[in-house]
Amino acid sequence: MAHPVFLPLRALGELLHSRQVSPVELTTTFLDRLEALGPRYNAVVTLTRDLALAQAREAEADILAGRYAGPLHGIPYGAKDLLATAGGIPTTWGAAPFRDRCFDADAAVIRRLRAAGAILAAKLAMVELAGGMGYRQPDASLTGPGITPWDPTRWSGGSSSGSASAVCAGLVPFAIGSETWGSILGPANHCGVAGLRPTFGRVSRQGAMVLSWSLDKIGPLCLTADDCGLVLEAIAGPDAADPSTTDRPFRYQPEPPGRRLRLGVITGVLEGTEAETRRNFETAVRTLAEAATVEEIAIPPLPYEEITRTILFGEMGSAFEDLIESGQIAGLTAPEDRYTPYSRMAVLAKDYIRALRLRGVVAAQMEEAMRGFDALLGPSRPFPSTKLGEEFPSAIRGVGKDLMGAIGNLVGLPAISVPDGFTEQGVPTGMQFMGRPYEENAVIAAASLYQTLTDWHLRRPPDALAGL
Amino acid sequence: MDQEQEVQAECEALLALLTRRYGDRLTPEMLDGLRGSVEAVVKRTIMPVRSVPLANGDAPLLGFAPCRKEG
Repeated sequence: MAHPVFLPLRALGELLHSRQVSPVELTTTFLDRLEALGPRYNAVVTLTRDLALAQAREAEADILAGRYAGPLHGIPYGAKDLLATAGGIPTTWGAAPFRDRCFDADAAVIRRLRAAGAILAAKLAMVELAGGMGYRQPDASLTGPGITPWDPTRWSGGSSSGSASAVCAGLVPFAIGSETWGSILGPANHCGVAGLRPTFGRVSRQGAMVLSWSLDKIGPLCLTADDCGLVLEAIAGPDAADPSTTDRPFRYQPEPPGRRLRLGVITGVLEGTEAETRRNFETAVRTLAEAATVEEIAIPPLPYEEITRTILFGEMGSAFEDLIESGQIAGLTAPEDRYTPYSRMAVLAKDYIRALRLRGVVAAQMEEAMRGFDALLGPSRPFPSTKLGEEFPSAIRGVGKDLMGAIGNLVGLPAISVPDGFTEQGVPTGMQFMGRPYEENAVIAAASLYQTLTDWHLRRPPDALAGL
Repeated sequence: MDQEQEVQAECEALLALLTRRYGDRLTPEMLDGLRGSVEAVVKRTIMPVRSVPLANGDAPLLGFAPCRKEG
């Protein structure tokens, strides 16, 4: 029997369903790895051992009694620490001022995963307040800088830092993260895992920290694109408590569409991209072109990054008005997070509304441009993991490019990142597949096709393989 | 005043407002950082957004439904 660590979810589910592995045994394995290896990557805020073992025992009894709930039943996972959890488990938002804060109820995503039989093993580390305060370097979390398991001197990416590094190091089979702009795809890129940003409104955000009402999305980080589809099906769906959620049902369709996929590359998407990221992306496109049609497409020149930034700054300034006005931001970890938020209070209403009007223009334009395409391709991030002590480039701060991230988050498009190679320093790079609204199956199918042609997703950090 | 001076004047006005409201809790180094951040917001974010022409009918893309509870 294969060792359960680093098995994709389907294989783990088979082991559990066929009773070759028990949920308690599996959960104990991952709890022990979280405890032993989590500190190495600053990946864990709270280990939920007692809760996890209780849930595992329940799953074990259900499976033994023939009440198998589906592919996530009995599988442990970790949740980004901006998802509320009941039972005295703290929810810190990665921020020192909230170190001991607890909520009375679980977030909707936690409840849905519980209903699917998944087991909450840990609350995972994140950049403080999901990075909305303007941080410029990785040391911006109450748990310390997130570290990629590929290199102890380099950043895991943010803000879903622990969600990506924990999956990468085999500390959990899957994790939940969130993205406002880059917070799922960025860590997926830096850690070499799959990360899915669903369509805006696909997953309820009830009980999740708000950074930006019209930009926040919740999604999975996993070992493979296929795993992301399985998790998304469990967490997607309407929720009266989150009016942004859609009634459109999501059923994961893992079978390929049975025709040649049509993929697009936006002209100029590589502008500002680091050399090795560019090289790996161009190689990946050539690989895909063997099995799919790849075409270049042009879109009108608009200040996409600036529009998205204006909305983010305007909403963030309101979402955290109390924290900023009260001066509590002085207790944040990153020195720049203690003053930068004041500048967000200076965004005028007329400029925010102008950005919302431009969002309408861009949404219509992208729907037209993407018609007939299964997905658009681009680097997941324009640069690979940087050193822990260094400032990193960031389109959110206006010092770096991220065309697809700006557009995709601005108009709520789904995207998935999967690894597409490594740099000479040995850290991964990623490729994203971005689709039309509600077309998660299309982007997962395209990413899965790429993963049948390559083996980047099967590489593991040597550090995390020790003892297996 | 040319456009560059106009933009700088807007930055100074916003910075003055922020300094009046929050200056007593910021060190000189933090105020320097805030100046850079305000200038980045205005010059690198807001001004490019203002430069795009919009038609009267280009409505904000908002998610909104009237709230009506049953009963």
